Amino acid sequence: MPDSAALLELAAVSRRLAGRNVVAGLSLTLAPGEILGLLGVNGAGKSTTQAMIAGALAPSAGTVRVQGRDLAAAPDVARRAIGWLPERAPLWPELTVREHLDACGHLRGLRGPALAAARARVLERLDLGALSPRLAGVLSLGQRQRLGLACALLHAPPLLVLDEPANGLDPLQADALRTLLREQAAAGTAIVLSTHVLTEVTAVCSRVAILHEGRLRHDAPLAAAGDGLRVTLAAPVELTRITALAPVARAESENARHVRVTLREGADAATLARALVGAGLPLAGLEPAAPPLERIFFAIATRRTEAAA
Amino acid sequence: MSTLAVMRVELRRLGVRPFAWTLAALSVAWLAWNFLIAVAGFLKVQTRLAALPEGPGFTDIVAVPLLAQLAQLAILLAPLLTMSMLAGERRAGTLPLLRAAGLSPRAIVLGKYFAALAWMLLLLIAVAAMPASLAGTTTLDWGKLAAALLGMALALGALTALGLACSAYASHPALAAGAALALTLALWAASLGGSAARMAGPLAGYLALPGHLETLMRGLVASDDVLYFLLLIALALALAVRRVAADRERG
Repeated sequence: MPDSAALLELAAVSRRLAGRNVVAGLSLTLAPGEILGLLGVNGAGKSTTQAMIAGALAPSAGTVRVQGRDLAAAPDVARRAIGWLPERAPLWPELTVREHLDACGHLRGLRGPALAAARARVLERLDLGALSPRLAGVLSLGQRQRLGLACALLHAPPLLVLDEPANGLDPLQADALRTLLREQAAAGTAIVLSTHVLTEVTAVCSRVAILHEGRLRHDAPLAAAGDGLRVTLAAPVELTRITALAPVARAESENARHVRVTLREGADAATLARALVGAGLPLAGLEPAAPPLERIFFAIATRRTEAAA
Repeated sequence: MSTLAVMRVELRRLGVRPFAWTLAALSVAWLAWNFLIAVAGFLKVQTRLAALPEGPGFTDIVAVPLLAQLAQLAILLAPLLTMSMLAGERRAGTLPLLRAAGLSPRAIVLGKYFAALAWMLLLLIAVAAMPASLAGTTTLDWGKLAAALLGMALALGALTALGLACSAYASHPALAAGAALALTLALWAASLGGSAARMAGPLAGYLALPGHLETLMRGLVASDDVLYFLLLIALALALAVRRVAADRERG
């Protein structure tokens, strides 16, 4: 049953390559404005998943729906609704940056003034104007990435699929990319971002999915991977005394001496500690309630499969 | 619409590729040199030929042999022009980009085919312009020339389609060029092999490309010759479409 609110919906998607399941039974949805960080070690199935979402690769089983339509049955949806930047930004080396954008525009059905306006917009936004007459074959890695991203953004798709977009970008460009992704998400674009850089995920993503050996091992809002604090008390206290504190949005008792606290927006561990001590509560310890993303990732990535075990 | 978009992109790529221009320039230069030699030869025997009833004219001695030379050159040109069209795209990773743009395998193959064919037809026009430029000073047999041009267009179409099919199946452009060259030479020499074996003679004779082309070059337009070329083109393109479609399934 398709999820009507979802822009992207993967239902039990599998892909077999060379006799092994590269992706197995993957199901997830993505709403407009969401940025999904797709994590996994090399060979986990991230790029294959993205190629299937982009319509470049057919799933062996399951369906990929974009805007409620099955990509296999309606490939024109891919032309209109998806912008894809594969790993290492494949380009036609004999075309200039400008010709490249025109070629991508033509393939996506853009013509005349609409193409000219779209080209001007992405050249300006990705700071490619000065490179416009330069051949794609002589661009640096970072410049290639920016041109690949410009091609993906050209037709203003509601879904962006980006495989390692910060690859080869300098710190300034990487920061500009993060700003761009946030802007796109704020404008309602859903983004699937594959990366190995966990700080990139924590900086821009609203959700994290971790693939390992082709299977989805974790899919949760980013907040769930690092939000909340665990308060250890030297002696039992009434839970209402903690919920009454200003920085506390929600508090749940784990046992007599441990309380899991969710903070209000703007509050942090220091303000909570000050509030607890100020209220005369016997604070003995304060630590993140859930393991941070890095710990979750390592726990999953180092897990051996049952078959391997 | 999608086919046109692919064709447009492919023509743009061909237009800026020095390799395509070099091939075209060398071919035209070679054929122009041969044209001048043929014209000089024709001028020497012109008066004697005029005395012969039903004797060969400028079209038979200069124009048609010149086009026949282009057909021989095309055995090499078509594989070189088409070798990287699909094999090169696959290696560079740009073929998945076309699939991700929602383009069907048919649109991808036809777009590339029409672009390569347009390039080959431009070459044919350049070559045909050589004898046509003397139309004011000599008598051209327009009917015979038109039949020869039709034959050449069909032959170029078939060789281009074969080249593209090989490019679709090969993993490397050089392999595609080699396979296309071998296949074209096999079709060129099929009748010779058939005659030698005396077994598959009629079939090999039908498969041989020169037999069908020669009829058209003599000014005779027979439907079975035209059909032969159209079938060859359709078969090669269908195989290429099948292979490109399999890429999406196989990965």
